[in-house]
Amino acid sequence: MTRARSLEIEVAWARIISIANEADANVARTAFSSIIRDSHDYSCAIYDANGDLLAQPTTVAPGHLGGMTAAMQTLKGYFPFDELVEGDVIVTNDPWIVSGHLPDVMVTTPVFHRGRLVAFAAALIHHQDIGGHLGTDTMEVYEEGLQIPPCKLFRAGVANEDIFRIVAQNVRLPNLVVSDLRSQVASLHQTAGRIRAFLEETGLDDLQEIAAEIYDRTERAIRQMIAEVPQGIYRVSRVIMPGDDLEVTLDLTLTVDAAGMSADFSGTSPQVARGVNCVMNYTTAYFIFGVMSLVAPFLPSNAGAVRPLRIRAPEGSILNEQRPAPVVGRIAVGQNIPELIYAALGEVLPDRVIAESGSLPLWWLTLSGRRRDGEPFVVGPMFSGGLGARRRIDGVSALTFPTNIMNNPVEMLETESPLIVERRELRPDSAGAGTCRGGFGQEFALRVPDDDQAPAGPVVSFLVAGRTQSGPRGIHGGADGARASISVNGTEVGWGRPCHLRPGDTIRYRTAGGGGYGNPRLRDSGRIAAEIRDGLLSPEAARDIYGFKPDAT
Amino acid sequence: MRDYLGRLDEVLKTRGFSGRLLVMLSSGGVTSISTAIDYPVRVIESGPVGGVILGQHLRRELDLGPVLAFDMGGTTAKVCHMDSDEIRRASIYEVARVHRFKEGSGIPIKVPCIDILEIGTGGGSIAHVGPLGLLEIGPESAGAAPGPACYGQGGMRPTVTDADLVLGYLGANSFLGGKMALDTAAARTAIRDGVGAPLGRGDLAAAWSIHDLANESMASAARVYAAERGVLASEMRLIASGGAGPVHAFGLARKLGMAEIVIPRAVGVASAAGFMVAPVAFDLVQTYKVRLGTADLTAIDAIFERLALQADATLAEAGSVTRRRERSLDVRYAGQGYDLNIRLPDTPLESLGHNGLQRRFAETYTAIYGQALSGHDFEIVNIRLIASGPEPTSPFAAFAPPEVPRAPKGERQAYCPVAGAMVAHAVWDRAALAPGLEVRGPALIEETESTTVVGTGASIACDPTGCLRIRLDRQDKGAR
Repeated sequence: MTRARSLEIEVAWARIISIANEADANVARTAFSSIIRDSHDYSCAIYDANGDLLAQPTTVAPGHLGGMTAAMQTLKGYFPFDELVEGDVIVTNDPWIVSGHLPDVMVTTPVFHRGRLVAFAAALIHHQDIGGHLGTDTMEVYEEGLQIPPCKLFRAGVANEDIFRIVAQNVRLPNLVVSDLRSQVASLHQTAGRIRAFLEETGLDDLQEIAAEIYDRTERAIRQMIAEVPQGIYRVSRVIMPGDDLEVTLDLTLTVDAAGMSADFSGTSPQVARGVNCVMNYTTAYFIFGVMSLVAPFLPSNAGAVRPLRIRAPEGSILNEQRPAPVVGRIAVGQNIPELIYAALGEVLPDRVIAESGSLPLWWLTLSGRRRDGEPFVVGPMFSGGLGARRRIDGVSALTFPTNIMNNPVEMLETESPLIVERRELRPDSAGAGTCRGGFGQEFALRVPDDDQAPAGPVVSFLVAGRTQSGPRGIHGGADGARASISVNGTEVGWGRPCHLRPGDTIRYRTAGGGGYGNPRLRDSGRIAAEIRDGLLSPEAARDIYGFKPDAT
Repeated sequence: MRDYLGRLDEVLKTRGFSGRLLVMLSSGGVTSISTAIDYPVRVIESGPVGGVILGQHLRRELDLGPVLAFDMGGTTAKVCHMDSDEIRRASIYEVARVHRFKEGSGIPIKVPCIDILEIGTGGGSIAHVGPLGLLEIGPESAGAAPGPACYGQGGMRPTVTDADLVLGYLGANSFLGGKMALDTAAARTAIRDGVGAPLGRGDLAAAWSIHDLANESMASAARVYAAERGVLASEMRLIASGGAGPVHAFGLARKLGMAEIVIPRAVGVASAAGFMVAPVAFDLVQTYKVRLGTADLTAIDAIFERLALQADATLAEAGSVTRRRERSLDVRYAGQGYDLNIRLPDTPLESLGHNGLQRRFAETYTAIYGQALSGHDFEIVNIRLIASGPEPTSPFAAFAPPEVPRAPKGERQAYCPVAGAMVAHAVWDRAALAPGLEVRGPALIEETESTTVVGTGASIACDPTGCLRIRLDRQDKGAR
């Protein structure tokens, strides 16, 4: 560590993070689809020569990062690292190898410096389309689209155009998806160049010394932070409904001891013949995210951070499902994991946890059809409910959590499809009341035009959602947030199965509000009055739930 | 805005001001107060823009080629790249970033503005040990009150300025021209307690880590900024201003592989000086979304005509006349979300034709992203026009070297990273560096508002216009 230490590790570390951020910027600026540049549904990462996670940009999605990190180790078995050459690019979207569903396509390239393998640049994009059935009413993964096993997309810099052709043939938007795939690869080359320039400038032979030092420091820091959590065995069980008629039990036993933290999901429901199953990688990713967000929110996620963490989920359970069970809507189940961890530790870490969130799971909507002129369109807006309240802060309204997705502008949706956005607003009275209230959910209404912009044939709406049966729970005396609902022309409908919309139809999505924290009667009356003024809280709800008297202020 | 500007104008008049009050715009021009009242959002964050305008003025006057204007103050640093007579503009600005100055944590405002990057590193940024047991700088800032520990106003936590003082880059008795004595002992204690002791580093090593990491944070941000715009930082000259800019310019330029630093006159008031050279100008934009292949070029020419008339009227209101019109189109591949601004010649689009336009876009795209894409249609998104009046003459009186002895005023121990120790640095009064004299680093050049730090391996000279020019020797690869 002599050379690396002498040049100040923090300076080198700052530089490596900035390389990751450059990679992230590059994908957004060259990508074609809205899901990438508007929703930012992609992640970049830098791995060391062993395939261990070294650095991530500021913005990543936990499922992507965890998936790629696990994949790097699996890929060794397919392509031994010592046989890779400069310019090779590996691609795969195998759900069991990467991040648990087919739209997530990962690419990675080895980075060489003076003839030695020094790092891997990797990027994962949730592509706008991967073919297959649009619904979670799938029996097997084969129905969910194109599967790409680990293979070389480029060999020593030469593209394998066959793979691009296979992709193009299997998706609804061939130009878009193939262009995005090329942008994804282009970002890898740029990252590789930056890493080489960094080594060149600093005179370092490789990144391993810096990596080892960062991992050790991260491990020490997270162990210290875990040590602040009271040791014990914490159990929690939750029933969720990842479908209108599907009940699933998630059981977690969380052990905090001198070795670190370990999760055991024994008791969790078996996998189902419905596209909401989670592969182990996805479960692991959200466990790591849940723990880190609670005990170590400002630590980088890297190979050192996970050393004190252990996880087990029974094979064949919905959190460790086995091929070929379907997986497309795994967010409906897997994103509940951080909340299980908060529930387990809520009593011992009351200042750290938040109440249940209406933003979880993410609402992932896919609308597919043909314009009047026959041109196909597929748009994938994602949106969220309100976050749970914290002990001293109100829940954030309509924000993604625990994943990391940006809002898709109304203008983009209307440009890229013939659909009209009728309304997009916070849902009044949806926030769970409390000393601190939950965040507000949102109402998002779309109309299929029936004039000269009317699409040719039906528009297929495929939605992965949640919280439609009951609202997110409040904690420590806080009230529950309002449950979510979906309606077509005023009639409530379910989600998961494809829904066919016809010209003139209006579909309304109402996401759940976050749960409240603490007794609503103790809430600051000025804030209540302000929310009434803003039209977010009805005077009736203010009176009945908060005991608010207008004259008192 | 209406009240404030109205009152300002009135008070100025009652006090005998007979000139015309103009307001700086975020996009780099100045305009009448009535236009500023009509479009108040267009003046947001226009203060730092002045520094960029000055940089552009110098770039032209001194024929500097591509430059990076760098301004470092108490709370933040700002950089802006310029490589032609056109100042790089953006159509979105993010204000009020709440989370560590991170992109995305503020409120985006869609206004024409100069494309400035703001970085959360300034002289007042607090150095602390993060959870990894590694040094971190900012984003918390000691601001002006309590300010750095060395200000002696109750600040206890170490800042970048404290490190600069302990390293000898700032003189305890020459800060602000000697009007404010700095407390070196307090700075050293703050650094020892806050950084040195927890990291097991001596005072000097700790102070150097702070200085160096501050430079690295700025360099990292500048690299990402450059990459996003498809330009190379190493090919630019650095124009440094702001109280802390000249102190950190040398370290920053080294990290970015730059060959020359320019320190303008009036380095502490660069923004104000920039206001004086900004032309009266106004930006207009009209969204016009159409596929390039099928666009009606005469219709676009007609829109340009209409925008030109509107701009002329706005300029006339500010007592100016249009001298220059910059016409441009925002274009992208159909389906992309980011567009590129394509400058147009001053001839009707008709004469350029569809093919000419497509060629221009493809060339610009290739220059930035490496390769153009075949088989994709282009799409025009916005039509833009910037009208500007004549450039005011330079606000600076012709430079006349003062009659002072051409010799250093003294010597100070300051930190040399190459030696890893304090070494003697010649201390010059900036006025004593007259044109024709060349000095080798290490040296410290003091003026009222700042101190220019020059390390080993560089030469310093004053050019005929009074700017300091610091030429950095070529560094061997691997050396730091």
